[in-house]
Amino acid sequence: MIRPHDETSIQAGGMIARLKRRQLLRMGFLGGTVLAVGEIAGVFLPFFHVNKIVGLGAKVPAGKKADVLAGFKSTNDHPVLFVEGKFFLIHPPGAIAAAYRKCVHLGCAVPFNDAEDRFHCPCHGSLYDKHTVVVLGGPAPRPLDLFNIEESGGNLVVDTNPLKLLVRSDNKWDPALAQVKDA
Amino acid sequence: MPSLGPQPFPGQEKRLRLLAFVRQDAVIRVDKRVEDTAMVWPHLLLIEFIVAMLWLVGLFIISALFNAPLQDVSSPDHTPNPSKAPWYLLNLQELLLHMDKALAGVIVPTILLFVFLPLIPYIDRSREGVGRYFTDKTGLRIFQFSAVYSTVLTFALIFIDYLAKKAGYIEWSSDHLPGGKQLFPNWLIPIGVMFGLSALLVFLVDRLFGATTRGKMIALFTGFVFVYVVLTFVGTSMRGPGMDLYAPWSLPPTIQ
Amino acid sequence: MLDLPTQAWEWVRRSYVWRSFFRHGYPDSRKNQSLAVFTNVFLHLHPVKVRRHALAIPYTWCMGGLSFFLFLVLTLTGTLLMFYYHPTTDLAYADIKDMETVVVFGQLLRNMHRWAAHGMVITVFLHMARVFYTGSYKPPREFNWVVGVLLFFLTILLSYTGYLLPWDQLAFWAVTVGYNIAAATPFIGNEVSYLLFGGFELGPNALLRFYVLHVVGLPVLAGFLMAIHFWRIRKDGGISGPL
Repeated sequence: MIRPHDETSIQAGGMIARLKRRQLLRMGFLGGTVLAVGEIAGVFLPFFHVNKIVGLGAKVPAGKKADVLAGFKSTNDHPVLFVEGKFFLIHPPGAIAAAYRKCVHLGCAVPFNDAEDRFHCPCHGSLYDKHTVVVLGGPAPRPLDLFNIEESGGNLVVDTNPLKLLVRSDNKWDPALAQVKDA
Repeated sequence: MPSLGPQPFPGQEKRLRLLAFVRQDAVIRVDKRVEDTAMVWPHLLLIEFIVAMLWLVGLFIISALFNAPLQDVSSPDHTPNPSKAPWYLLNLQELLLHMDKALAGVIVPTILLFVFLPLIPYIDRSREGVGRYFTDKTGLRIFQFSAVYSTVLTFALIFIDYLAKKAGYIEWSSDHLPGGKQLFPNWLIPIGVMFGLSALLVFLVDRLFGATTRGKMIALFTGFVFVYVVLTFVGTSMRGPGMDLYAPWSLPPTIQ
Repeated sequence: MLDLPTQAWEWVRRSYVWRSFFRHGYPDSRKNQSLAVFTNVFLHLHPVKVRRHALAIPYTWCMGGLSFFLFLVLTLTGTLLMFYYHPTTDLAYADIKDMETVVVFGQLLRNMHRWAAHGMVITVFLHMARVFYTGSYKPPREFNWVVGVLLFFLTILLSYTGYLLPWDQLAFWAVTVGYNIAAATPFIGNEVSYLLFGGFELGPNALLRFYVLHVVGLPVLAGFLMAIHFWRIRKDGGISGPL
């Protein structure tokens, strides 16, 4: 709506006052819109963030420690696969550890090869040791990563959160990694 | 602004209303002859109808002859070798073999899609050559030159990378280069090659053909298209198990 | 007696009801041809007249129109596929198997959806190349080029999200490649892939998210951008041509 200004309002500085008021309103509307859009966007991100994790990422029970050790003894330390948690329970010297089965080379699922008695990645032929999953050959840049493992009341629990991996840069077993002793 | 002249009586101001806003580009130009235009009904609609029907029939025939692929039910324990993305993303997966994951998979496509392509009309703002393929003969020659240049160089780079890695270049660089096998092989050299060869292309078309901004854009866009096509081709039909390089006619099947 | 059908047709055409649908006669005169385009919601994507060179097939190769045509085919076949598909890890693969073996014309529908999707990626890319090489991004069409680039991106995303839905080995590992790429985003890679796929690996959440994006989110966004794209073609002076 266009209204003709009358002389008095201009002389009294009303023009400037009106402009300022308009600018203020405009800023107010703009700011309100930005705020509303920001709030909606801010609500969407947490909405899409899954809080209940099933499978990889959760804390996966890995059985009784005594049973696992007995199993290792009877099978000559054959690694035990947990499909839903994507890890192998392995038996490095003096400890029980959980190795994430994702090949550190290009992410294939690494199987244990019974005939060769070691881990053999089918994609690019990376070889990992049976006990400590250090690299024995192939293009893998480092040993398989380990999950955090803890013992509570005789039961083993593996934290399969792939963001909290134990990443080893040197290609050997470090006794400091023994979170659960095998005795 | 209030007018300083004689003020009209209230209610007698001259009222103007905006009825229509006509831009020259938005309407059929009056200076063109009538023969230069055609009625949409029937001429354009007829073409659209026939083309749509031909494609529909073609789609029916293709769908009747070839079944969409369906493999075994997915199993996270069993990685096929090689596992490949859909073909239109295999260019990225091919790029992934030659540089850092973040660079090949995220940074380069983001720059291409959200910086380079959208910026084209804001860099080349002339109206030179609108409505004519390649603008003119020079543009056509620039197109041909850039197509050959980028096709040959992309193939050459893939083979050079293949041979260098076969000769133990990664091991050598991890021992001798600062930053080990990350900094130079995965970041600096690929970035240098991508920018350097693009800049060289622009420089060459400038020198050889005296290219205008439009000509340089044709060179860069052609480079993008042909690199995209070559990478897609190599990723689709030259990468076998282990993502190793094979000739397209002797590509081993995927190991399931 | 023989002209009874003609008379009946004439009677229908002159009826109050028919004339409330169509406000013009048969489009055999200039006026009616104009009105046919002008007063029809589907045809009014077009102007009444176009410049003659815009009709030349070697100029546009119909690639833009065909991309839209394939989008419509995909919408139709996709909607039909939705009647037999459950987006859960237990049922998805079996549903596709059923689609191929049990549902009447199911295999044909699935094939059409698949090949049309591949075709659309190609036609959109060729359309982009055509628009570039004819200089059709030049003023006043700069913005429409940007919208077109976004539509190209959406086409890739639509195709990629659809790729996962059969939940077979091909789908699973192809999308895993994409997961690993998304996780490689500098600084925020883990958050991005976690949000997009709803977990640390491809699972039920990822399948459901891709399904919702594939059948609702991305098509709606693409439809919105297409409306802008087509509208702007007209507002920017129709198909480009020599000055």
